[in-house]
Amino acid sequence: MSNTKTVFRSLKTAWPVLLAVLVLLIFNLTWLNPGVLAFDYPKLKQNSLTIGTTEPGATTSYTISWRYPSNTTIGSVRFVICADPYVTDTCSSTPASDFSGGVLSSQTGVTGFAIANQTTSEILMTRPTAFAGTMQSTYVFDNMINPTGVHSVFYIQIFTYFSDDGTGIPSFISSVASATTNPIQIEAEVPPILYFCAALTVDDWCNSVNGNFIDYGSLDPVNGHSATSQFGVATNATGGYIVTANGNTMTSGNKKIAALATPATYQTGEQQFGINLRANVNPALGQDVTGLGIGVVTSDYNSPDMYKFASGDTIALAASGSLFNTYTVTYILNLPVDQPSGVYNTTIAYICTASF
Amino acid sequence: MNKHYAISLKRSTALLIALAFFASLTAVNLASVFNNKVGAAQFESRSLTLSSSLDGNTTTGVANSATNGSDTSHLFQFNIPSTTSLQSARFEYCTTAIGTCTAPTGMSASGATFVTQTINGGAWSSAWTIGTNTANRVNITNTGSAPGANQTAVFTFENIKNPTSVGSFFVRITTYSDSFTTIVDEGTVSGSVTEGIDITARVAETLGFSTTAEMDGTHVPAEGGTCAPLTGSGAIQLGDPTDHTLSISTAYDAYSAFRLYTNSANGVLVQYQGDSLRKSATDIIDSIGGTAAASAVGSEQFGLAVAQTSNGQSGGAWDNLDATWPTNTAGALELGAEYDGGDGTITNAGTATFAYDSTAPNTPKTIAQSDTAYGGYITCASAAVRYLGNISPLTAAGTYRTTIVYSVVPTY
Repeated sequence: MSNTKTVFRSLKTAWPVLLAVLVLLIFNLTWLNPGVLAFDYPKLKQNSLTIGTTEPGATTSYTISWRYPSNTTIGSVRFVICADPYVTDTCSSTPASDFSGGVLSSQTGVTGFAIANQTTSEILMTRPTAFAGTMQSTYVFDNMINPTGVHSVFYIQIFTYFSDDGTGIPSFISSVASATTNPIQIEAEVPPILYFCAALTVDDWCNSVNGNFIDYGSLDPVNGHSATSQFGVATNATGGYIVTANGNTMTSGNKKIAALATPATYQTGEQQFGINLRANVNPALGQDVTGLGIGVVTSDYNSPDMYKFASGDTIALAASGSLFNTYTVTYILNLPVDQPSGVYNTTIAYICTASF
Repeated sequence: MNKHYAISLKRSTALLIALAFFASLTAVNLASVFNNKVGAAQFESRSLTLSSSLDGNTTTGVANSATNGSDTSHLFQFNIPSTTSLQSARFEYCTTAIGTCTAPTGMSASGATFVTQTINGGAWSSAWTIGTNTANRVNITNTGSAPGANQTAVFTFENIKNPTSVGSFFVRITTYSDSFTTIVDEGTVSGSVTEGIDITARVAETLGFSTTAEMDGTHVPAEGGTCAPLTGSGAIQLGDPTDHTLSISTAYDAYSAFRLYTNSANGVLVQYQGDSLRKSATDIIDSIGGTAAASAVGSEQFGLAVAQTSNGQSGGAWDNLDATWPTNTAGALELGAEYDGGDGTITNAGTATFAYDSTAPNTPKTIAQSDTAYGGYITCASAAVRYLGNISPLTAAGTYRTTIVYSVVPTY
């Protein structure tokens, strides 16, 4: 009884102090610290989330930006991923993301933060509590792993604190949203492309090829003979192409007009069968390679007025894919006066081999 | 007996004296009370209309609005039975209709000013002016105005703070033929301070964004009321319909779609990012570039643009995609100038134009956005994206692929 009286007496004496403490507590909670006490919580402005890639499960960057609606002091910010945006509610479900490896790689505006704690679904960044202006603040987190699941809308809830450790009542809270999307995967085949044609005349892209027969008529050992044909090549083969000339020299049974085994000039009265791929003076025939391609004539067949024929020789090539080139082949045919009579002929086949 | 009679007489005398004293006291009191009310009539059809019935501590709305009880206007209307020339009137706020007046808690009429003063809809013969007010009295004076019989007077005062406690209050209106002494007419009206009905609803940040490359009515359903999401695969085979090969002599196209809604008040960006079609580190089909350009058959081109028509495509998806993209319209998505030309032909130098900026494949490029001048939000936008593929004879053979990732950045 005596103790009770003592306690009562003490309370009676101390009540003004207790009242003052209570008033101070209320004052602190409701005025000095206008935290999240009301339903209409204080929100950030211009808040957005930009994700490096929205592919589900991708490791990417998260750029989170906002500005404070009024001057305040900030010591810490907490980011929480949630399937719903209601920051005042308990998160209904946590998307399958992973923030545990997130790195704060950039910060502008209100700066000085470092990651103090992080989990798969949450990051707390802190700094010594200091004044924060109302400028736009932007924070970039790298190495963030997106939620899995296509078309999964998710929210990053943002909580800012006066304290430098994420404790206390948040001063501002807001949400930003993003969504994982189905990436559009486009696939296309580029086929091997080879344009190759041979004829007496060809035009670009082999749209028109004309003739395949050269008739020298009666051979004349004095005046010699010549003619031309053309072939054209284009390909997307990365290894380019080679064109070989294949066939025999002019023969008639077991008789032949010898081919020029090495490049030689045009000489009437001698056995000569040869070709080149240049514009010539003697005889005045032929044409240099034309077209936008990168094809070239091989050296043995690339000298004007010098002729050669060796079956299987590469006469033209391109080191890589090439646009269309038109090559003009000049054929020369000479024979001595004692050339045995007969009908001489040959078939020259041009073979293009592209290396894709 | 005499003794008893004497006592009785004595008692009767005392009783009579007491009665006489009480009677005289009552007469004095009544005279005192009714001294200035002889002949006073009561106002008819009297009423008080408050601009706000919320308590005097409520400052939600602007002054004189329904949601501001701290700065209100009070409109009095009553018929004046008398035709006596009036020189003053009093509006006294009390907690009761009769009896001793107790001022309602927290109210203040000391700063009341006139808003209107009319008699039968017109002006008084001389204007009323605000006198010396108190917390619960509005006093007005006049040099002398006589209303017609049963004319309707209307007085509206503003700058009145309502009582701060919920409940009824009464305003006793009295007119005088002199300066607040000789009563002409009187009447009481009542008002009431009530709790406002606080209705709260929360609208969270919303976002719906989906993509698909399956261009049919199943995977691109009608928007409906919910802006139904798109579903299905994002895989596209670009090229010849049979073997999916590109050609140096024919341009090929393909389509995907995206659908978006958001309540972002500060706008939303729709962006893409990705490489051009690529086979290897060195083998790539050149992107068409960030500036809109037409198809150039035989040259390497990869580009995209939003198509507003089906361009000959068939399938139910096209019934469920937006065919018009208005500008300066609330809730609508506006296409970027480089990406709005997806309709038309893709033959060499055809009418359709495309763009694709792959210079920084991991940097998002904006293809469309909402107009913040018109609310920033998107009701429901459904777009078809058309892709163009051209190759040159030098394009190395092989399978080329790219992954284009669409994203949105809503700013709330």
